[in-house]
Parts: sequence; C-alpha cells; structure tokens
Amino acid sequence: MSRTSVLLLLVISAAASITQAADPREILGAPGGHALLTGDMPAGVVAATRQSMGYQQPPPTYYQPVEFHGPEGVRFSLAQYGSFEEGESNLMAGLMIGQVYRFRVTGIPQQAGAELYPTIEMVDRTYPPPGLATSYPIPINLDQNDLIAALEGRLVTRVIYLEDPQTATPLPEGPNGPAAIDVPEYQDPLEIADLRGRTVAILRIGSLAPPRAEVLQSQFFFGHPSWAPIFKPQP
Amino acid sequence: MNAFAEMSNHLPKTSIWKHLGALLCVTVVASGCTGVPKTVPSPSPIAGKAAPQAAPVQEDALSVAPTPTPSNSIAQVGFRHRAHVGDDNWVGDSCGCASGPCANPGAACGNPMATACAPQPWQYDPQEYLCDGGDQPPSAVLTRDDRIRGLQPQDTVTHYTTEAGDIEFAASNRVCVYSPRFGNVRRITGAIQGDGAIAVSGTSRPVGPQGVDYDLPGLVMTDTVEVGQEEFTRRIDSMRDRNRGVRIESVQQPRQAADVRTVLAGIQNVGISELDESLLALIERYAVAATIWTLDESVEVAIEDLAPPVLTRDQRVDALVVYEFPGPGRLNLLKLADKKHAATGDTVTFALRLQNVGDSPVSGVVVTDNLVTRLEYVADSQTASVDAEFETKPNEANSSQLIWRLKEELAVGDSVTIEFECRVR
Repeated sequence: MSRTSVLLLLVISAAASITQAADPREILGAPGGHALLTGDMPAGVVAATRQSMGYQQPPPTYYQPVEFHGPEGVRFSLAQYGSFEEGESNLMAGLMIGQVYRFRVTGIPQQAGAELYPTIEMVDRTYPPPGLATSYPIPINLDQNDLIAALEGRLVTRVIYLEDPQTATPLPEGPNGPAAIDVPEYQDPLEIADLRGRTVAILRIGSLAPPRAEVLQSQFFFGHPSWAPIFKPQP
Repeated sequence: MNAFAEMSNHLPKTSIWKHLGALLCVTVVASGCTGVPKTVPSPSPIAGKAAPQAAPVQEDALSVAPTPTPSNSIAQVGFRHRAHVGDDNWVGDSCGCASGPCANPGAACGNPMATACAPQPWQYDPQEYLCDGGDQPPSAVLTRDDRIRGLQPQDTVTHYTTEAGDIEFAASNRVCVYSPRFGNVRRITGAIQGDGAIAVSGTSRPVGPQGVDYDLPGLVMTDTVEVGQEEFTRRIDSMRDRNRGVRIESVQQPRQAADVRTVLAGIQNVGISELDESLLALIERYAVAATIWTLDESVEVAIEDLAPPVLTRDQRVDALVVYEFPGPGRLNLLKLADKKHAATGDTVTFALRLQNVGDSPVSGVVVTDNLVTRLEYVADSQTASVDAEFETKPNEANSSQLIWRLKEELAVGDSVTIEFECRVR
C-alpha cells in the first residue's frame, strides 16, 4: 500500500470520527426525554392520543366523577347540546374519559356579567373502591387568578394529576383543594405533572366566547360529549 | 433500502460498513423478537408495592364490566414510570381471557360474541392509597449510638433485646387507606397582541407513531400569530464535565505467560521419554534452577531422655445433665386503621398491637412509627396500655416520627396496645 493511500485512509477516518462526534447534549439527553405529548397541544389531543394508543376504556362507558370548585359565588354549568343551565357553585358530574367538555363559569367576583367558557379534557380516571366513586371525585379548581388572567385574554392551563403518596408535599390541602404549582411559560406543565403523579385531566381557561354561527357549534363544544349528572343529597 | 441509500450518501465510506453491520444486527434482533410468544404482563403492574386489596372490584353504579380489547403495549411517552392499572392486564390474543385475573375456564373463549369472558381489568391504583407501616428496603438497623438507620417514611418497626443480648427488629404490616389527593400544575400563557392572545411558539411538537391531528378544534386561538423569536434556555447539563475513559494504571497485563507454556511443553516431552538433543539446554537450565532453589539445611531434632506421658482411659459417665435453653423472644407487630377511606382533613386512628410470641421475655422494647408525608400526628392523641416513654420528633418527610420506649420487659404472651390519631393532609 502506497504512502499516499495510507494518508488518504487516515484523513478519511479522521473525518469520519469528526462527523460522528456528537454534541454533549445529545449524549446526556434532556431530562424530560422526548415528550410526545405536551401541555400546549390543542384540547383533546392528549386524551385522544392516549386513547388511540391502547389506553382507551372498553365499553360500556365509565363516567368519572369530577367536582368543580371556584371562588365564592362562582357558578359552573356544563354544556348540554349547546346550551347551558343556570349553574351550581360546586357542580358535580360524571365525565367520559378521552373527551373534552366545555363548561361555563359565571358569577365571577367583581366582574359583573362576565362569562368564561373553559374546557376540561379528561385524560385518565381513578380507581376507587366500590361505592366511593362520587365521594372522591377529581377536583377541578379555578381560583381568582385564573379567572382574571383568562378575562385579560391569557390562556391558563392547569394540569390536574393524582399525587404520588410517596412524594406528596407535606402541606395541608386548602378548602378549595390543592394550591397550584405555577410553572413559567417555557416549561411544560404536563411534564411537571407527570413527574409528580399521574395526569388525570387538563383544564384550559381562555377567553373564547361561543360562536354565533350554527356550523361552528359542534367544534366549540367538541362534538357534544355526554355527561352524567350527579345529584347531591339535600341537607 | 431507501433509508440505507440515503444514509450512505451522508456517511464516509469507512463507516458505511460499520453502519451496515449495525443495521444487520438490528434486523437479526428484530426478527428474533417476532418469534417470542406474547406473554401476559404481570397481573399487577405495581407488584412491587403491597396490594391494598387483591379482590376484584365489583361494579358500582357508574362502572360496568368491560369487554376485552387488545392492548398496544407501547408505553406512552409522557406517562412513563406509571402503573396503568388494568390496561396492562389485557391479553392481546383473540381469546382475551387466557390468563390473569380474567382467567375463567368456563368462559367460551374463541367465540367473539361471548361476553362471559369479560375480564375485570381495573382493580386499584396504589397511588390513590395512603399506606403506612412495614419496613421498606433498606431494612432498619440499629447503630451503636442507639439510632435507627434505614427507616423510611411510612415504616413502622419495633426493636427489642432478647435474653441472649441480641437486638432484633420486627416490622408491622402495611395498612392502606383510600385517600387520593390531586395536585395542579398551572401555566399562564401570556403574550397579548392587539386584543388576542398569542400561542406559545418555538415549542417542538413532534408527530407520534399514531400521528397527531393538529386540525382538531383549538381552544382560544384559532388565528394565532407566531412569536418570531425563540426563547432557548440552556440547561446545566450541557455544561457538565465529562470524564470518560479508564485510567491506565488500572489495566493489568498478563506477564510471563510464555515461560509457563515452555515449562509445560518440556515436561510433556520428558513424560513420553522422547528426550533429544534440543531439550538438553532446557533440562540443564531448569536443573541449575533446581539446584539454586534447593536448601541444604534441614530441621534437626534432638530427642532427650523424657518419659512419654501416660494416658489412662478409665473414665465413665457418672451423670447426664441436660440444659434446656428456651428460644429467644419474638415480637409480632400488627397495625390497624379505623377507616378504609379518608378524605383530606379527616382524622384516622391507628392502633399498634405488640405481642411477644416467642419463648422467652424480651426487654428494651422500642416501637417506632415513621409517618408518611400526608399523615400528621394529632398532638397528645396517643395512648399505650403499658407504661411507656413517648417521644415525637420531626422526620425527613416533614412529618413526625413517633417513638414508644416500653419501661418494662415483655413476658411471653404479653401484648401491648398503642393507639394514636393522624390527620390526613
């Protein structure tokens, strides 16, 4: 083998090693891995993707009880074929997993006449012992900051997760459920929630109002998914 | 092959064969996997944790028995390390009830219309239970300065001293209370332009294996304006120093292997009596070596005139004394809760029952209950049936560690009952 060919081989191998040398970040990897699902996806994508990947509920349908909590005076009502009833302060309802529900928030303190139409995306369910399903609903909490931010035109994303008891925060829970962990814009709330427990629902509060056009109604109400009313015993 | 052709365009020729080899290896591995029969995953994906209730859940008013559905076993990214209860129990074959909790020999498997072989896929999720008790690994041990190491939050152990002086540990059972607690992670997306909110931009939205349909109805923003500038946060990981490789002094090379083989070869030749002239030098060499290694001095023993001792064997058994040592004392620690389920803010009463089930009394009995983060000890709520010194101190889980030191020893069969209250956070 001549000297030039040896030199050529050396140059080629050196070039190959340079092209194969990876960025250190690629080797170490991001701490969160490659997130297939993120918290800023459109409403319904996370639940629908999860359903389509084999985690769907076999029929018949299970209605996961949820309970809406808000500041004093705030009333909630779920959409029923495109219309809303008057609303209750602590509304309880059974929602289907994998669906997105539009509900109405009225009676916002110091915002007379203002209405908000947030969505709740049901990602996963709970597994209570028999007979305890309605005693331990998934709490959907909205506080005053959420409502003000939404009325100002911002989008509030709340990822509700089931806390891992091993790593639960040792703080007592407030009367309106747990205090929210605020994450900055560049962080993914779904990823943070996934580190701390099992994501069950995603609440998005924006400032969108119902469309007037009949054609857009179905899109606005995400296909009018059915829900089961839960009546509380009268005191 | 398109992928390979495309790859070969971008790679130098020397690495093509390397990649081709890797590709072949991957192909072999993949084809090997196809031959593996489908196995049912473990019945409970949370087998590592103690099951609060093993009995299948009966249908309540809202849930009805589901029918088996083939499950895709691909783990969902973003839902890692989580037990997806129930879904993993599904069997991917046509029968659907071959094994697992749904196994029913009388079910008409093979008949797609048969609903009798519907499994009970959902049992429980351990994350919804608040458990306390037991001894999680590493096991608790007592150090010389009388401190317990290896005591995890939620551990409940007792240690005692047996009559032989051994310090033994006994763990209680785990007691679980259904008490799910939910958390919220909130992000408020800010930018406003004109009168409309602007969606977050610069966020990667990879398309998954199933494809993500971005044409689904959006929430607030149907007319989004992309933010031009991308915010990039460099993590601390990218600055981490990478020390790879092996230090050279730890590499050990074999030495003098050639000489050993030479010796063996020579011995074999001698053994079959085929000495020739070529071996003479070797024989001489090792003969010289043998001479060098020979010691001329030997042990010299001088025996003086000493009479040997006389051993008289005329002893016989006079009496037989049997000593019976009783077995050591052993404690049994039982933990109970007065509620099966508790909401946040509820008070749960726990009872500890300690009994000496061994053969001899034990002393220095200390019962330690390390509470989990979500259990808060209600002050002055503890009672003990015997005289005990009670102490509480904060533990690493920001909860309390409750310690009872029994003042008296515990005789065989004696039992102690301790009660205390905890508030669920």
